[in-house]
Amino acid sequence: MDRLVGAFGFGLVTASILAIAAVAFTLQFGITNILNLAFGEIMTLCAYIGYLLNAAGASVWLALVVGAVAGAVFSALLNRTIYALFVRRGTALWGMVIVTIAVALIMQNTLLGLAGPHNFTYTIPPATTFRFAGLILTSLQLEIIGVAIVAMLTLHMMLRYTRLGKAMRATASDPALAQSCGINASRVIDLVWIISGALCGIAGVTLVMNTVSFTASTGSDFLVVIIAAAIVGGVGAPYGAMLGALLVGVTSEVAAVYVNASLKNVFAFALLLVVLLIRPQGFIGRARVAKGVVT
Amino acid sequence: MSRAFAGIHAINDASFRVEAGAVTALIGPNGAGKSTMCSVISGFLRPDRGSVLYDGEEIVGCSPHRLAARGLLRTFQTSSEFPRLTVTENLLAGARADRGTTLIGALLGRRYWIAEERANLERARVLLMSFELLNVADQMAGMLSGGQKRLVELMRAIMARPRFLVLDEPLAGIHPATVESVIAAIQRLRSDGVTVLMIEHNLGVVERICDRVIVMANGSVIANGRMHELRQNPEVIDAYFGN
Amino acid sequence: MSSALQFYMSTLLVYLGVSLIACWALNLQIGVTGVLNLGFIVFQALGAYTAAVLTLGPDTSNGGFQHYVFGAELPFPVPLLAAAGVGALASAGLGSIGLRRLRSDYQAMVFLVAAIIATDVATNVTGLVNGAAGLSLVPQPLSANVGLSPLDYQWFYVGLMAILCAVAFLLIRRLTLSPLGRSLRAVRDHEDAAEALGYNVYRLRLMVVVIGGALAAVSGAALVEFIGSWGPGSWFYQETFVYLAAVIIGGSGNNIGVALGALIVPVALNELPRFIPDFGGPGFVDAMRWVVIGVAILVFLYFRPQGIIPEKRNRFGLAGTVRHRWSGLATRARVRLGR
Ligand SMILES: Nc1ncnc2c1ncn2[C@@H]1O[C@H](COP(=O)(O)OP(=O)(O)O)[C@@H](O)[C@H]1O
Ligand SMILES: [Mg+2]
Repeated sequence: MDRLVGAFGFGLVTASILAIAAVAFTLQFGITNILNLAFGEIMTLCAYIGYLLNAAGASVWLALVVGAVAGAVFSALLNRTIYALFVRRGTALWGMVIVTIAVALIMQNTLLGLAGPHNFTYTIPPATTFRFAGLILTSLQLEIIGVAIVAMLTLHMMLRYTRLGKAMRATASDPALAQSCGINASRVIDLVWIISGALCGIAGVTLVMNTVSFTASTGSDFLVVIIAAAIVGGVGAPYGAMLGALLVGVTSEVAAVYVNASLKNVFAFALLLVVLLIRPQGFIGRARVAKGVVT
Repeated sequence: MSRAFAGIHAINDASFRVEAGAVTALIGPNGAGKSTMCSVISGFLRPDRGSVLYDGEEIVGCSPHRLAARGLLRTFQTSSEFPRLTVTENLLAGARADRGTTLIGALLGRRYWIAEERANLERARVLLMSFELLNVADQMAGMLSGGQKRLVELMRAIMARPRFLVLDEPLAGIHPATVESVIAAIQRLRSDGVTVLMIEHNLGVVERICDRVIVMANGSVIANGRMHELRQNPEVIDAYFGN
Repeated sequence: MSSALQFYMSTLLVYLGVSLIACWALNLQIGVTGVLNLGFIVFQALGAYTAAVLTLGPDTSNGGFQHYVFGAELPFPVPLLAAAGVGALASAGLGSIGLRRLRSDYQAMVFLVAAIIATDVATNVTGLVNGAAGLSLVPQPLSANVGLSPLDYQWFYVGLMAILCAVAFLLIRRLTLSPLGRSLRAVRDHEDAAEALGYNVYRLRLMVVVIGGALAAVSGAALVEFIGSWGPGSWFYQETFVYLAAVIIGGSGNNIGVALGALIVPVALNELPRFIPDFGGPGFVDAMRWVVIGVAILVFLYFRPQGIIPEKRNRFGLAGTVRHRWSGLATRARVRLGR
């Protein structure tokens, strides 16, 4: 029982990081229609930039902020310099997947080539431990959960109550129509890349704050669970992604404790397969049916 | 039947019958739900409520390819040729090729399926001739003009020997000089006993070739009858002609 | 040729054969049918593992230093055929879930995730195929029977590979040139229109995933029987992109173009670095190899998406200007029409 509760606690932390990443991933897809498989690499890049700062003596919180900025800038640039070119050229949907995977390949291996095949470790001051209701969490883990909650709430407010949020939802459902209603679709898309990029950077740095050390492939390994969470929740649906993150995060951490830690991604994948079998549109996926993601 | 998209009632309790062997027009202003109706009939969309009877049998839930095998063919409003196939190949793709399109048949080789292929090729040639498109027979369909693509799509559907053909705006974008050949083709289909349901905006054409007309507006059927009767109907005039 | 050079050349030819079969199979999926199987390498790996355990004998042999399941010592070519069967079954299983009702880019993602997960399983479930260490000491087929010198055996294996390649090529050619091949290209070009014409799109996609999976498994089996060892490091999910690059660069949809791609990309990228002095720290050259592949894919997709040798236009000559390359197909049609 203690083990289960403990695993649940770890699951919550993983789910928090996963929620940030999966929401950003799904936002990119839902609004720009690009499945950005270089997402994990941008996470790694931001974690690495954070690492450079941290190694130079900055606190992890500064690293987090700079990571967010780096993620925003890099994602927007990536779209402007590469993805948008292919979209304009009329590359098919699955062609875009190849483009993003090529970018992922280039980024990951450039980082690997330049930084080397090392384990990079953040310097984090020792944390205090909190216990309640059988959960044992460090202050750092609580802070990560806090960051996720703040990020999700901010995003929720923005999608619901701001003009930008409305413009984003309109662009997602019909870009041509949104354009004709006076929405500047290309500006909205830029903003989507900036916002989701910032979330991507935050996810990258918090992921490494949680695991402490990372390599050039940490982000792309994490992409597996991001994809699982996004599909389980219903891809393109931000609230679905949050729910998917919770399910996948907790499932994989509980499986890690009871079965085998190195197989936790396998359980995330098994969950994905089960969802595909019984509910291919994901848990919150009605809109996706209309968009033609699932038939 | 009814069908909604994220709150928009694209079809709202609409109901009508299409007479076998006749040409029926489906008209109505943009956004009336006509294309959605086509997709529901042909199995591409599921209605939220309601049923579709084909030959007296419920077909809601049947996949499009099964319906096509039973003779229910549809075309799309946006051009949907196979761009990297030649025009001839597009037509051949429409024809039934029961021997050559099975895995075993393909592996058995050309000798097994060539007779069928020749017969289909002959039909393709006759069709291409009637639409005066023989000169582009070997061009990639993606390189054609918009109107030519529509023709390819129509010919492709005809190659499939439909019993019930649903055409979504077959004349949109077609060169005026070619409109007559499309009309002739539809009339030929009728004389072959094919049932046709076509969405069309050109009322002159509708009056000439359609036996009955169904008018939709805001997702509902507001009128159903012969064209000259409908011209008198105030509701139709209001919803359609006044638009 | 010196015997060292002969060794090198014959090994290279065997690798070329493996990548030819793999690229044709992947092209059938991606280039012809438009199914972006980003987990392709898993089926090659599965074929290799199957052939290896069915050649190695029970895992108590060789002093029991490696642990695996289903060990047996079956005569050649049984392991190869079994590999094809396992590849087909596994791809049918994954395909029947991943291809169901999802848009094409989603399907790609499911396959990619499956590939990453498969490595996790093979590495961490140690009793399955000997974990991270992988399998080794797989005996070469018929080497005891034919009684050739090591060098002659190399060329013997090149001959075996050539036969396999020829069979694979003829099979794929028959498929792609038939009306079935046309249906597959129709699915690629416009899936809804194909469905509306009566093609069961899901079944056609599943079919190429299964055929491609079986061929991929055969290529893996042929490779492991030659090199004698196979582990998780041999089939990292990124290896799929080498074949993908070959298909895109050579000319997707064109079997000859793809063969050219298979010659240029895998062979050149795996072999050229051997001649480049190692610089820039450990692993730098290897990492740059992947960067080159990524850049090559992007450059081709942007500037020449049809590849070096584009897909051939299939002329039937109905207008009477060109004759179809199959003896008088159109001519006879014309005769019957009375012209
Ligand atoms: N896939 C879809 N997602 C959301 N709304 C849709 C979709 N398809 C159609 N609609 C909406 O349904 C209504 C009917 O559309 P449609 O059937 O295309 O009309 P018509 O063909 O009569 O012009 C329109 O308001 C349209 O915006
Ligand atoms: Mg319409």
